[in-house]
Amino acid sequence: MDGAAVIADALGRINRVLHRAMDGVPAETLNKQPAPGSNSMAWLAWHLCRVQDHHISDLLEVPQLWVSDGWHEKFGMAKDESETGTGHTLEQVAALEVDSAGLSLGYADAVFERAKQYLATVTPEGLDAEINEPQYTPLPTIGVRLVSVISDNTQHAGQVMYARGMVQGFGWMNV
Amino acid sequence: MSTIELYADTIRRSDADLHRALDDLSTEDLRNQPAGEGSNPIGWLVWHLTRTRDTISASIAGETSIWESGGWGARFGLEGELPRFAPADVHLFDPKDFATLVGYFDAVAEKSLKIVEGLTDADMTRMVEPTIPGRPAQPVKNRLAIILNDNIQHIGQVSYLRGLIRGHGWY
Repeated sequence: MDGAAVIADALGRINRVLHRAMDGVPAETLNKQPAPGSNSMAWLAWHLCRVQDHHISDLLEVPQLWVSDGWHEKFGMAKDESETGTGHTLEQVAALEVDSAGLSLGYADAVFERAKQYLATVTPEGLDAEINEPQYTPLPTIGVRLVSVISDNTQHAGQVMYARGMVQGFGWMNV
Repeated sequence: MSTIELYADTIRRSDADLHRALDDLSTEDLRNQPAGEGSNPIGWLVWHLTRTRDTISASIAGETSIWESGGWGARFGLEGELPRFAPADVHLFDPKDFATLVGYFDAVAEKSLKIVEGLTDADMTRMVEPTIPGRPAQPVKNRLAIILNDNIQHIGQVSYLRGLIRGHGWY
């Protein structure tokens, strides 16, 4: 099993966690900030997908699905590739709302599909290719970039699971 | 970057995030339930993710867990068969103190990394017995993927709880 397959497997698990946590959940629940000053399920899922879309599209050297496939419009947000939610204020978190789990998961599935297709082309040697981002020393490699996506996305997926418990009751996954 | 390096890097990076999330918290912060009654506290999350990594790594290596070989049961006051903590009683889990909780975590992190870095490509498809009885055997690569997926989700949850304690945008 090579590195790209490990990454694809991890992204697949993340995608399944999102479905498990969000399938059939009403928009009201997804949009709720579980505690004052905390991130909603909708925001968390949106943010991790933005990170994945941003990084995978960068590696593919194509526009993000966020803009090329009109996902920004579906979310009622600006056509801005730099908007990933990093550094969002509480007001910005509160302003992000979805009309259904289908919107959140639609974007998640589209981004994951692109990631899978990209990863199928990555060789073990390819993982060591450097990315030209001179703001970092040493230059990151494709492998390092993909590791950062897995770590970020898995953490946020876990937060979606926890947030659901906060809104709907803990132990929801055991019922 | 080999497959092993990829696993190791992902775990190391996430563990660094865990340490950041725990930095400067109090022992009370390990026990409290800022998300409310029935929620998993930070202490329980760290203990649980460490137990998961410990038992899976040990089964991959065919060795005794750090929990057993290091006498951690006694240190946590949890000797013998471990209770299954449910929302109604998760607040009863005692993380003791940072030295104990993070001591266990650090010991398992170090051992687990050694086990992973000692694996070969051939090991990846070797079948391993489940840590939970009754579940099917799985190849090593699946067990490693489960460590990553379980542990890193819980690390994210610890970060979320730190946000509830210390305020939004703490990182």
